Amino acid sequence: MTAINLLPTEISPKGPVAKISNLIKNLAVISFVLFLLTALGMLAMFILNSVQIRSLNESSEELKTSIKSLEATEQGLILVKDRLSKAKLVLADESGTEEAEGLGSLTVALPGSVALTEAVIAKNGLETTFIATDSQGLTVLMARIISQEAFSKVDLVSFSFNPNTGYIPSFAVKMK
Amino acid sequence: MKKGLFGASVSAILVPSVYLVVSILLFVFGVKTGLEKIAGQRSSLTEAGKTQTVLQQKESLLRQIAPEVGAQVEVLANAVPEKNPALTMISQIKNLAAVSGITITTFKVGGVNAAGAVSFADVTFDADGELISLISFLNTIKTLAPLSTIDTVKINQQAGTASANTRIRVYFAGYPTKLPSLTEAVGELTAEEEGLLETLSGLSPPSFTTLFPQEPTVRESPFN
Repeated sequence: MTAINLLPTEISPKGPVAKISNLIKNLAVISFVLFLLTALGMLAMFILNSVQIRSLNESSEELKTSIKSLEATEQGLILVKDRLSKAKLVLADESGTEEAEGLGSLTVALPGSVALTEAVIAKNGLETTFIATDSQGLTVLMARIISQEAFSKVDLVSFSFNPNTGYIPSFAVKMK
Repeated sequence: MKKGLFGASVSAILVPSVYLVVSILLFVFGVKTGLEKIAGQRSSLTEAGKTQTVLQQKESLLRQIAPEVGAQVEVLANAVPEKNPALTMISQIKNLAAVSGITITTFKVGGVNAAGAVSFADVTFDADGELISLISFLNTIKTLAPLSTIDTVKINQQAGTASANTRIRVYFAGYPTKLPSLTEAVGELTAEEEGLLETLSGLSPPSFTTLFPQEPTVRESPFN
């Protein structure tokens, strides 16, 4: 195709001006094409993301409906967790349970000449008073107290002897 | 003529330069706006993905535990009831005393302390019986539901009969009133919680009598 130049040939740009002009034109075309391609790419990505988000939201809505139908189970789970945390607090509270167990292991199968007369079980210790009608019974009682691994400390609070009743020792026990 | 020639050259460079600048501006503005929009979308996508994961995990967990949660609630509601369980505990102690051969002579329910996360009430009772039975009875109280702790026990023994003045503490706590948000994750029970649940499942539950409504019956006339 023949190029038509309506300008007088003497005023048409020549030499380096024409070259620069062509270069700028080419650059403008290239940058415009790049813009179009980038815009198209981003549009495609935008549409793809929109579809994915919509799909995820729809799926989430279905799950929410399903979870709502399990509301009673969720309430149960929350209640279970709440009660367990409360039970943990209760079990961490001090109790005379260990002291009661200690008294049980101390008094089980004592000889007939030894008897417990008084005991006070508290959260922080155990106080006991025994009566032993003979020294053999007293020895057995002492051996029993010493052999208790659950006791961390045993204080002999008082010790008396009455010829009519026998030996009367009192102990204050701390548990481990 | 020279002026005309100069003007044509300027036009030859200026016009494509304007196109170039416009193209570059369009490119920069378009890329900046597009990237911002896409970044926003990616953020929404990540958030939606996270929400979906949480919901899937929650739904799966709830379906998994649905068959057993009712029984667990019953066990734990007996262990730590919602309301003051002093009367329930009295009933439990009376039943245990009957089984252990212990005679309970007096019961007294003290005031309620509702200061902490868990409230408690004191139950005091006097019990008579053989010393070994009495101590065994005291040691068995910890296996009863609701949960209790031994506060003090004063034991006296004379002529082979022991009597104990016992004060125990029974615990209760109000139920939670709010469910977490629908999209908030709920965790399954930890190993520690499972162990605790197993321990509490071993407690002897109180026995309740359920009275069912009866149909009205015709009352016989006492004058016939």
